[in-house]
Amino acid sequence: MSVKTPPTFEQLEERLHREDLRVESGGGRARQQRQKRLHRLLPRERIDAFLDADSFVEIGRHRTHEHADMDPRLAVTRPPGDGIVCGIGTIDGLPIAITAHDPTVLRGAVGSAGCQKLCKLLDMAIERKLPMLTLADSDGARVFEGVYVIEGWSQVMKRTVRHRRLAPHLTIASGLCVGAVAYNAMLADFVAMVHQQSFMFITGPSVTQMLTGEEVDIERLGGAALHARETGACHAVCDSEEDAFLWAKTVFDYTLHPQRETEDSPTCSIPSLQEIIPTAPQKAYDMRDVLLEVFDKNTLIEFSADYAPNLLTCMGRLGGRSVAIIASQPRALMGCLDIHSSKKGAPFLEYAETHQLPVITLVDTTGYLPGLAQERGGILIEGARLLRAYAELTTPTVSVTLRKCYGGASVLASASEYRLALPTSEIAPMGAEAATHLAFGPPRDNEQDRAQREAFKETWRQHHGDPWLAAERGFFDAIIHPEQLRAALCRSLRVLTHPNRD
Amino acid sequence: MTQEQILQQLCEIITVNFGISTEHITPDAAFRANLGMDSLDLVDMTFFINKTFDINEDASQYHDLVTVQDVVTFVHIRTKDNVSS
Repeated sequence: MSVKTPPTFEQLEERLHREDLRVESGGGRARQQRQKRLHRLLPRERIDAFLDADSFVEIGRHRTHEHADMDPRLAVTRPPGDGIVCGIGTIDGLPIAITAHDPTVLRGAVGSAGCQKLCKLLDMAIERKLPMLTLADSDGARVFEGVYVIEGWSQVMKRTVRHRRLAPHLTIASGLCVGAVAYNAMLADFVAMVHQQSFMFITGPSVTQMLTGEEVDIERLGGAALHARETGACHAVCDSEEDAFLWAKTVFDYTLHPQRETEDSPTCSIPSLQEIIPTAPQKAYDMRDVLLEVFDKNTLIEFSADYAPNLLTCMGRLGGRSVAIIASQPRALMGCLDIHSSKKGAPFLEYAETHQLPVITLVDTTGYLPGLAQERGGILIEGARLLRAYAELTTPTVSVTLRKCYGGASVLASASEYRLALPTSEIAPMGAEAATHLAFGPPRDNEQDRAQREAFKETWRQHHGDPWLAAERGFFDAIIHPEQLRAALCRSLRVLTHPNRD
Repeated sequence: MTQEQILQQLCEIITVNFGISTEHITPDAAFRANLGMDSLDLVDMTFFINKTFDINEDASQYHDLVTVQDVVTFVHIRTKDNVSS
């Protein structure tokens, strides 16, 4: 009986080297070189660029698909890793889960083996409450794998939703982000796209044209501008992948490091606010100027700046503590609430609640935008979602009414547990003009009607406009001088975020 | 730069980056119908064209260009502008 000679260590080492080369070469050197000529990074380069040096621990590095018999393309394309890189690494020493599609392998389409790798990664992230980053560059689900891939993605999506309740999940669309991959990005928290390099849709232009006859270019169908301005699906548009990495690190920082050291004094007064906030209620100003003065220097980051510009959603720090900020923008639609701003605000508040970021709301709004388009577009549904998100907050909440706060939009002030107001503020169920119309109907052309209306308006303003009356009636907890705004917010945040709070 | 020179460089871009052999790349060839390129290929191609010919046009500017000759003419006009400015 012959005994098989065991391989030498040199032979084992040679195999190890060969397999590592196969892993590193992804979908082939030619495709990798094309990616480089496009000035785009390969998946492992993207991961290395994001994480601390030498911190990446990969899972499923040699995993291949088992569906070679289902399609000729699958028969000839079976690279180790199956076109998706998954693992855990660190940023600033803290672990995060990370995944990157490989666009050189079947255009990054994720098959059932890739889904199993993603499920394993998500399970590890759920178990440890790790934040997650997806670097998307994928044609979506690998359709040649039939029901195997449908099953795979259903498992990934379940876990994505479960994970989102425990830790932040960001997506950087580095290239294509199609179908299941795009939906998964929407199930997670925030998405950044790279200008003229990222495209996000459920089906691409050629399938769209085949099914609907519509000929549309890829940028109009799913480019960054579309999602940043019209759909709200993109929360940040970056000039390059490197800029997107910085964006993601900054967003993670607010939850990974809820308290940072700061040299900004928590008690400093801000005389400039009197210049920024006009006393005349009709005069517009940029709420961003207020935010820049009030919050710690160089800590503000705005989400969805070009979508629903009448409501600002930002993260920042106050005395080093990370906070979520919702602010009316009087410069756009007089800061009113509408369908889009409600769609923008609600998930932002849900994120703040999940990760226990205190919520600061700065209010200067004329109310809800009235009109047929709003009613038919579903303002009741979207507006209610914003109300629900505010009502469900258990994290510390502070509102500051700077000037106008009218009608149903007064939720912005009333939903907070601690309510401040500036002397310039006015709060009422509705403005004097609208209340007069409600009381008297359409104006009639006679002197008596005009006199009655003027008298009613004056009484209305006396009873409802004055912030001191609202404070006497218990609506506002304190009226403060504008220059004391930062100090008052820092002080209230300090006591409201007591560690023993349930 | 003459149209012939532009055509030659465009052929090289298409061959090297999209694996399409030169005999298929004629002035009349349509990128989608004849060369089998899709929307994403065309976005990538605009990157290579902009870089090669030192022009700076958004991908949307290339949307109505159907054939190889369309792109040659487009680039010819843009590069003439570059020289005159």
